[in-house]
Amino acid sequence: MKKYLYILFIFTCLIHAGYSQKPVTIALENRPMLELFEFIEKYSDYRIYCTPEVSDSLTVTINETNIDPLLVIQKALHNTDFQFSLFQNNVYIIKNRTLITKLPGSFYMSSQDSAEDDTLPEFDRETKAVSETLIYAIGNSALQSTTNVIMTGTVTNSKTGEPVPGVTLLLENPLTGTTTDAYGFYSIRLPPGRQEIIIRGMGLKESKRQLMLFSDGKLDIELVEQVLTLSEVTVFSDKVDNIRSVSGGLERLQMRNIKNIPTIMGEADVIRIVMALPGVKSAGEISSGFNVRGGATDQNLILFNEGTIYAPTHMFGLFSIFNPDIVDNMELYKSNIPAKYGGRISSVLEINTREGNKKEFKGVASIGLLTSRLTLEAPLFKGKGSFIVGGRTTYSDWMLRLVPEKSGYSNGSAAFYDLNGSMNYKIDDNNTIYLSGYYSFDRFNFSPSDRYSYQNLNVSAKWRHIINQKITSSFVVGHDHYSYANKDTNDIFNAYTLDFAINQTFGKADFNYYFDNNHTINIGINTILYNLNPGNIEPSHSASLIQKRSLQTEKALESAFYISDQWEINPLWMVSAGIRYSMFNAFGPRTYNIYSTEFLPSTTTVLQTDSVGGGLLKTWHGPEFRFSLRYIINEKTSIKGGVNSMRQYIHKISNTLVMSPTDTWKLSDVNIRPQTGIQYTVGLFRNFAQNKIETSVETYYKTMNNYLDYRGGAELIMNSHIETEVAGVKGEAYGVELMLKKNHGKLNGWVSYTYSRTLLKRHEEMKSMMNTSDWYPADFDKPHEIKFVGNFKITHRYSFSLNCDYSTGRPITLPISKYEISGNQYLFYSERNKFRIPDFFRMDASFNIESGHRLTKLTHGYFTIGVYNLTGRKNAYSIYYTVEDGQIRGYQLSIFGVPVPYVSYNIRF
Amino acid sequence: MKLKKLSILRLYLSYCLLATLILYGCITEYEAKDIDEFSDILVVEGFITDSLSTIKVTRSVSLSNEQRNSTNVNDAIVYVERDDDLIWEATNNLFGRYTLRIGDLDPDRKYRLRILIEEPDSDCVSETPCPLKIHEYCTDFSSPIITPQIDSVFYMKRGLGQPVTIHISTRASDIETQYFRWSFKEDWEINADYFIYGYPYYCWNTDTNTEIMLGSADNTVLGQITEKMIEINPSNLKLSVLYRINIEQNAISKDAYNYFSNIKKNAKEIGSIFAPVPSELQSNIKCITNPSKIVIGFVEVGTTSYGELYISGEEVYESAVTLDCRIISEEELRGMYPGDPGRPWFPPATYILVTSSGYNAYILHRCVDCTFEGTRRRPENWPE
Repeated sequence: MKKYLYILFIFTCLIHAGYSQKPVTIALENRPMLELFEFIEKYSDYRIYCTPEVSDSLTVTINETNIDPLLVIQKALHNTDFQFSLFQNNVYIIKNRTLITKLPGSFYMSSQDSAEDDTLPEFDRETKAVSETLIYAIGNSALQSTTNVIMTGTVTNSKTGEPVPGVTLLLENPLTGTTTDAYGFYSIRLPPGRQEIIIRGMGLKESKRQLMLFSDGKLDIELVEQVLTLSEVTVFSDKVDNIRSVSGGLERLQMRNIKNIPTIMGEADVIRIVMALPGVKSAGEISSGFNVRGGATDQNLILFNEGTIYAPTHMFGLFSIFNPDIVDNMELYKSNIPAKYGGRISSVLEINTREGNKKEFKGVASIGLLTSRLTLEAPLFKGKGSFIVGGRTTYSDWMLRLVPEKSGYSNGSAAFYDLNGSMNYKIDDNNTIYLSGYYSFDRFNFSPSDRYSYQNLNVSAKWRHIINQKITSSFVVGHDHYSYANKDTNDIFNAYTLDFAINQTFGKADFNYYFDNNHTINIGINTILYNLNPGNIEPSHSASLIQKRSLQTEKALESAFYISDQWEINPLWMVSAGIRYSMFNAFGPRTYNIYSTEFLPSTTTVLQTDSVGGGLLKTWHGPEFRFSLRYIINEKTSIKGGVNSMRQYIHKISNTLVMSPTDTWKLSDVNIRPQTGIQYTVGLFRNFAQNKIETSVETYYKTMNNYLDYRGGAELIMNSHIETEVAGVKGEAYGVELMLKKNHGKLNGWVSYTYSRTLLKRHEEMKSMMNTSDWYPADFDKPHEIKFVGNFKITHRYSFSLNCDYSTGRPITLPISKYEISGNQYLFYSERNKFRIPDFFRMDASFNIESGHRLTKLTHGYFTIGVYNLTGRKNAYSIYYTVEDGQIRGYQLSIFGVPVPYVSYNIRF
Repeated sequence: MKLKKLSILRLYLSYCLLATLILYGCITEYEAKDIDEFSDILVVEGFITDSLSTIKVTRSVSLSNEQRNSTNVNDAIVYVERDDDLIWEATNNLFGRYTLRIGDLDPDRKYRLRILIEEPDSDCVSETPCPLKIHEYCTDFSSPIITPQIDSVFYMKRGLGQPVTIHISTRASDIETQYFRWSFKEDWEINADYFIYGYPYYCWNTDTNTEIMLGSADNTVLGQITEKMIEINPSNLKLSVLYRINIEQNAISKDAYNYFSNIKKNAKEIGSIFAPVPSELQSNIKCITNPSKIVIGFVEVGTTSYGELYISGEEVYESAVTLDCRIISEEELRGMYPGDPGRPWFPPATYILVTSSGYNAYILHRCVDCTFEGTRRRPENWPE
């Protein structure tokens, strides 16, 4: 490439010291090109280099006022064989070809590539904009638009060819911007002529592209990943986005950036990272169910490649089900939930896997004490597609076998595995097909006669279609399955197998309409067909007296239509307003009770029993409003507010503290109303030190209605009239979240403080006799919480990570009196959650070593050594009481009561 | 049948196991601070039945009370009232026990329990001590529940070394009697290893259940229910000669079943990983004079069914005696217990002299005296 530089006959004209590219006014009639060049050099600080062929043989006729000098050149060269290129302020004009003024982005990385093909390196074959200084022509230069033009395209990673979502493209004057969607696609309206766009994204160095815009056109941008990968570590969010975006309460994380955060077994864990964010709490240290801003664990919609996940953990919560090598990014919406999501009232956690390397075969293998994983990815169809497959398994059985025999648990075992696979195929520029599948299986037992298992299965197919430059669409169909089974053969007369399953088939159609730079409209429909098997029980021994019985299956259709508009009123004000109308139709056949409305439903207040055939049983419907507003106070400060209302038609019914794999889910029906929630938020966002430090103060107030709480002593399994065991409660949550984040430099990470309360109000008739107050704190109500996540880069190879977590102890119900029944002692408990366990504090540290960065090395190692719970504090998970030798004793159960060291090693190849 | 949530104890134990393997700390004692404890909650237990009805009236004590777990109430007036104003007053037998005999229960009538107790009014704040006042507690009138007969009481032993399990089998007679509560009394005979004149050879012992035994037939074939009452290790002395279990069966209402199973849940499953959050249910006994008073207990009216099972030791007992029940010579015993040299030798107190005709022989006292394991009081109706 560079040889072009040498064959140039350098034609220098006058040297002018200029400071800006002022518009010029010029009128020439059939004059030599040289005259034009001299004029431009005189009135701007461009210098023009060309062969005499250009300057002497060509003539030019032009009459323009107030025009960019480059546009003049562009016009002058129009319909000739010549093209021009810009390098700094130098304009080179050569025949038939633009000049590559910069080393290709892949220059350092794909040295082997260039050897195999001596014509042109890759970047030229693919029409992707890599260069920061090259001027890319957009549209047809013959059609010189006078109004704004639409530029669309895809932003991809130069190393893997995968699309990069969440990248901001920004024009500074007039201030215009857009962000790439989940597929790396963007659409932006720009004024015609010479423009420079700034590209900023998570974990990416700020970059620019020079454009010459003529008319609507396409520009695929390839972003060069930095050679030293460590320098990108823990850049947690788009630093401009936090000020400019309209929605507060959004956390966006890239998997590759969070691998340094210390975790229990040294395995980067999506759910655990989510729990390190402000506003996210959990009832206990090992619980994988999480609570977002006072919501219950079943009020979070967990979407994994579009599928809904019901059991997000393996092994009682020790691991999340998401393979860290496969996951690309996640987004947690805590308050302003886009209208396209619905069905849960608290939050949306969207997790997407990587698409797979589109350029070469890659793999990652990891071996740990408890799990091993393997991931492979490679291009398909000559780079038009790619696939990624991954598997993870545990071999923890050996651990339980080490247990002394007399403990009675040496026969126990626990194991899991999960499999991921996805592929994509780009049919043409406007059509891409994605297929994705996921399966996970868990089993555990503590005696051979009592076994449990549960599984998730998700499959989906997606067609992404770009209709035109303004409208993109995606269509998804898929199926989600979750089930569990329990087999108990302990007492042969009561031996049984029990199973439960949720099946849902869904379809989604989503359209994005980039109406103009001020309006982006999102329209779509969602539909989910539920088929719930609430329980089957059958004898599992010939002597068993258990009656084979199945609860009535529950069928329902949840449909929603939504429309939202993101409207940038002016550079300061931006509004996002959406409405989602959701409808839930429960279908028969079903036999159901009708209860007296005066009392809480119970078996004694049944008025009559009705049944329906195959038809409609009950319809619930209602609108959901999503509104958020942003006002930019100055370029470093903005204020955001929002109101969000949500509806939920599927409910988890549990009487345990943490999410357990045998929790029952129930669809709304005649007797179970949908849950609703409204959240009001206000937040102030401010960046300091050239956007290196982000701060925010966010407050929220939230109300919940018809949240299902169990009644005392509820029997939830195999209950055909579960409405008699639960009652809808009201909830109220409020809080303030302070966050300070540093994204760049040797030290990066975040520290946050949260004050929040979550109170529930029991139904009048549900008040236990002890309960004198109406409101009681939720299980996860921990008013004060301080979280710190930090990473310090010692050198590019070595880094140190620290993670601290402090919170008020969670509420607990404690005994307050003791008594005897038939000579045995029993405890009398306080009203619910009247007391608190001791405060929680934990500090984890890890030291990360990245192997050498020689690019030619075949494998690349990553080594982490760490300690979980460095201070060894015995944090109470729970307090419980037992009677021993006639004495009642209180015990505190700590899950990880001493420092837990771990080591993990990953190989990339 | 009881469908349980995850077996809680096991779960957290396994966590601890996982934990101990990597040297984690797990369970430590916990002393609650700043808990306003509660005492003197009235606890009423028992059944109003067609034979001897026993009502026990006690009070709860505060958790920190290490002396006792409850206080007996012996100064209450306890009686059963029928809806035609007929009254049976119970007599106090100390230890908080009140007994009465109603005879056959009239299925067309309703019965209730009433208790009158003189106690301080808990509402008084200003005056100390609070003036005493008669408080009245009672249940609602309800018809007697007719308890189905016990079909059988049987035992199972799956093989050598396996425990003996005793099961009760019954059948719900209708939709109303699907829930059961059982109580049982065990008697067993114990014989000494050697018969030596002057030492007791035949003894007996007795025990009652302390667990709350509950069963539900709502998930079973034709309302049949077989529930395990007790599990006995085959080497347990209970089974050495003759064992008897007497089971009383009471059908209870669903509310009572829920009430007692909640108490069991509170006692057994609290605190661990997937534990249900403890809660208290409403008793069916209410304080009329002060409705805000809390009462513990659930007393119902109904007939009682009985079942009995004998198990002969020959069938199941697997002796695991570790005692050395040989008759040993003084010489051998002196070798085992030499005593202090230069002082007269005495046999150890655990041994007794069995012959003394010039050749002294000894045996362990335990081997000839059954009162080490029981009493000489023969149970009622014990077979010859």
